[in-house]
Order: sequence, then C-alpha cells, then structure tokens
Amino acid sequence: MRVLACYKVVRDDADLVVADDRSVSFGRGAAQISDYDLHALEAAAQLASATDGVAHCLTVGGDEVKDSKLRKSALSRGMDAGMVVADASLADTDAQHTARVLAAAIQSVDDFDLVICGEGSADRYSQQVGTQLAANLGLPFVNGVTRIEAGEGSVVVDRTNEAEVETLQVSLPAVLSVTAGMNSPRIPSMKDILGAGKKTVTEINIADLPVKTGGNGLAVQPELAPEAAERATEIYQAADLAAFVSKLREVVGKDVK
Amino acid sequence: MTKAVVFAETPDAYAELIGGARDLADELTAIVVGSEQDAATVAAYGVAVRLIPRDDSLLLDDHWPLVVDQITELAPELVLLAATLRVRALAGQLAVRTGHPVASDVTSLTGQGPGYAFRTVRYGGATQQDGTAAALIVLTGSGMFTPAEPSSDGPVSVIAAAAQSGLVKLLSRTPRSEETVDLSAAEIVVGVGRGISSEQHVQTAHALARALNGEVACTRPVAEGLGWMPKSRYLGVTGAVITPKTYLALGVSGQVQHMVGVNGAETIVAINKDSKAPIFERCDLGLVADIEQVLPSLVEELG
Repeated sequence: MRVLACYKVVRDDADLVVADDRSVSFGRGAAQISDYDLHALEAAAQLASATDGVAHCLTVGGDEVKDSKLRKSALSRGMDAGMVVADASLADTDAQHTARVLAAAIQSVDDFDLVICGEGSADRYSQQVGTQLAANLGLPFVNGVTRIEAGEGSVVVDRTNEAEVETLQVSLPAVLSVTAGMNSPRIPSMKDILGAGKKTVTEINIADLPVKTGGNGLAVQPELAPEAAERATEIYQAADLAAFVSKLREVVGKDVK
Repeated sequence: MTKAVVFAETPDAYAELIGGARDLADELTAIVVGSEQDAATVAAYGVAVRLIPRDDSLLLDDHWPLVVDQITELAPELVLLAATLRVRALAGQLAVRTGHPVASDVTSLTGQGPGYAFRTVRYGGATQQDGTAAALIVLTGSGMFTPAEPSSDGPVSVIAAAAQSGLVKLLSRTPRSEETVDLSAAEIVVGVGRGISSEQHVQTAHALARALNGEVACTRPVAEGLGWMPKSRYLGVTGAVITPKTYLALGVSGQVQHMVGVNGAETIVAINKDSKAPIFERCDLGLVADIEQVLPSLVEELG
C-alpha cells in the first residue's frame, strides 16, 4: 500500500512567553512537528511496513518547514521520502487553505492509496484539515480512527466516537484522521536520523499547484493570552501548617475540628 | 434578512443551538436527520424543520451529502453545528462546498452586522484569537448558549431525497469500554503534578480526593510520561478543562499549559515545596511545603 502522512510544523507551546500586554511570543523556541501528527506518521510507517508498501510524508507551511532538522525528524520515523510545500504566504494559514494546498499537492503526484492526518494541530486544533482535504479530493473520509488494518482495495478501521467504537470498511483511495491514542510514535534512533539525511525530499513550488483561490472572508486578530483572573495568593510556610489547614477547611467546606 | 441553520446529531442538542442562533439571524431553520418524532421534538421550539428521514440501514455519515445539499440551498450566513466527531467531518464537507470558513469550538460568538465575530482558543487555551467573517460555519460544544424554551410548533417539511450508501461501510459496532471520567462534574478536584515523586503518594492523593468527595486529576507529564493516571485525567492544553469550586494542586508547578485547564476554578489551592513555583502567583491559598510530608496529615485532618 502507498501511504502518505501529512504533518504540520508548529511552535513548541512549552516556549510560549506572555508579555504584560498579553501579547504572546515563542522566545527562541524551535519549531517542531505537531504532536498529533507524529501519530499519523507512525500509522503510515506501520501500515507501509505491514503491506510491503511505501510511506511518504507531506507538509505545507511557511519557510520554516524547509528546515533540514525538521525534515529529517519526519523522515526518520519510517518514511521512505518526503514532500514539502513551503512559501511565506503559507505561514500560519488557516485550515481551509491548508486543505486546498495539500489536496493540490497530492493531486499533482497522484500516487497514494491512503492519506493519513493527525486529529488536529497542536496550535489551532480545529480538526478540519483531514475532512476538508478529503472533500477537496472527493475521497471518503473517516475521523476518530483508533485502529487501521490493511485489506484488498480497502482498509478496515475502528472509529471511536462519543458513545461507541464502529468498525468500518473504507474503500481506497481514502483519507483518515487518526487519534493520539491509536499508537505510540517511535523515537528515532541515531541510525534512523542519519539514514533520513539520504532520503529524497521533493520541494513543490506553490506557484506550480492549481490551488483553488478566493478568500473565505475570514479576518483574524493577533493571538493574545487570556486575561488572568486575580487570585488572593495567600501563602503559608510549612511551619504554619495548622493555619493553612484551618483555612483549607473553610475553602472545602469542612467544619473546623 | 440574515439566515441561520442549526444541526445536531441528537434532538436534545438543538435547544441550545436554537437559543443561540435566534439572536444571531432573522430567519432560522433546523435540519434534522432522524424520525418524524425527532423532527417534532425540534419543531416544538418554534423553529422551521427540514427533516431528512434517517435510513437505519446506512451510516449516519451517509446522510451528510443531503444535509450539505439542504444547507447549501438555504444559503445561510450562519451555520451552527453541535460539535460531535461525525459532525466535525460534516463541517469540513460543508466548508468545501460553500467556501465558508469553519470556526471550531468557539468561546464566544456575536453578530457584527453584517457578519459574525468569534473567539477561538489556540494551544488548548494558552492563547486566544478573535476573528470575523461575513458567513461562518460554527462548531460549538454544550454550555455556550442559553437553551431555547419550547413554544408553538414550527412547520416540518420532509425532504424526499433518499440517502445513498457511500464508500465507507459499517461492519460492526461495540460500546466504549475504557474508563471515561467526567471531571467537569466534580466540585473538588485534586491535581497531581511532578512534585509528587512516587506512585505510592499518588494513592495518597486519591485518598485525599475521596475524603473530600472529589475527583483526582493530574498534569500531562504524570499521565503521559509517567503513566500514573489515565490520559482522560490530565488537565490543560489538549486535556480536560474544568471549572470546579476548588482545585487543590499538589506538587503542580503552575505552567500555563496546565493552568489553562483549571483557571476557571472558583478557588485554587496549591501545595509545592518550591516557593518560587509560578503557581503561587496564580492561586488563592498556598502552602510552601514538601507535599509528601504533609499529604498524610492532610488526609487525616480532612478525612
């Protein structure tokens, strides 16, 4: 089976810095592959290996996605080759445009049986790219996937929704969004990382893709940190344990002994 | 004349959508996939219903093309959808068909004539972003709007088109079995952070939660790195968001990624041995102490 995993490059939220005016920055924080997409890469690698197939990966984003460390990070996770669509105009683009660019890139290659996405991105988590990608490609789509099993011309998947697990047969080609619970992403070894440097990454020029254009009327403001609630910050030292406990009793509604 | 359409998987989710959409558009239509009884339940809120009869031999998703057709024909400025897994997929189909943007899990939504203003969170709530759009597809959880009250019955029209089997087929279904906790219902939540250094003390935290008739929760590393608690119990970015009366943070440093899950607590109490831990700036009541030394006596005192 020929499997393609899509991933997004995001800033590491551990590096999030909030200024006094609530504006946010990411310090010197490095960009990384969105956590959820590591599960898509892992699912693609496992499926390719189980079917003697190939696994490729694809990302769309600003110039940061061209970073060689990030490419190697994706390729070292069981990928055979990669594709990158990098352009300044794609930095922090919304789910709708991302899905259009991904669809155009996939159509330009037209070589995959199955496309796997993560459930949502670590920053926006709108959970829209997988479904919109499938709709743009005119392919069947299943989200909430917690298990994939390869079949002949189809895959059998478990979809875990709010109440139950549905086992579904999906005709190929298709698009799936996999959940973070479905697998444990591998930790690439030094050999994997060195090997990744020898793999092919195709850079696709956005200008060469027939991407549907036309804005969706969406306008957004810069992101801000939420307003923090004022807290009393009444702090006791260990020596004042008794005083702390009696205060705590009041808070949790236990009568003072 | 602005138009809104509401849709949910189950009839009981409509009251809130209708309550919210009424204030945001002049004309409101509810699309229902289900039985005539389901349509009547929704129409009782005084709203016009277009019923797509549910074919029980098909997947619910097989009805989505009909839902998309109906919404496209109505051409509303606002589509309000109750966010369930399958409806999130529907939202994507609708966005591609209409070209309108999707706002997922909005925390506010207001009319801004012409158009709509909304707020979404990023990084699980660590940041937020305001946006506007002339036409919008909104995915919303429960608790966003005041539910509509039943009034005079609205008209129900039945859509004649039949759903078709798609390229996804149902093989079998089983109820979910894994532990799912509803931390949002607890009045007191005891949170365990990395300051607790052994699984044995996690048991003591459980005992404290029981003594307080509360639930136990944790930070992400405790669930994902250490595996001391199921993932359904971690709070914060990508985890659960709670609004209890009291959040008691044990050995929690107070990083923003965790705090976004608990900032809605009425009172935050923190115990941490590091007096410089950020949580002491974000709590109401704090104790600088080694959690493992004071925990047993807390269980005794509060039990």
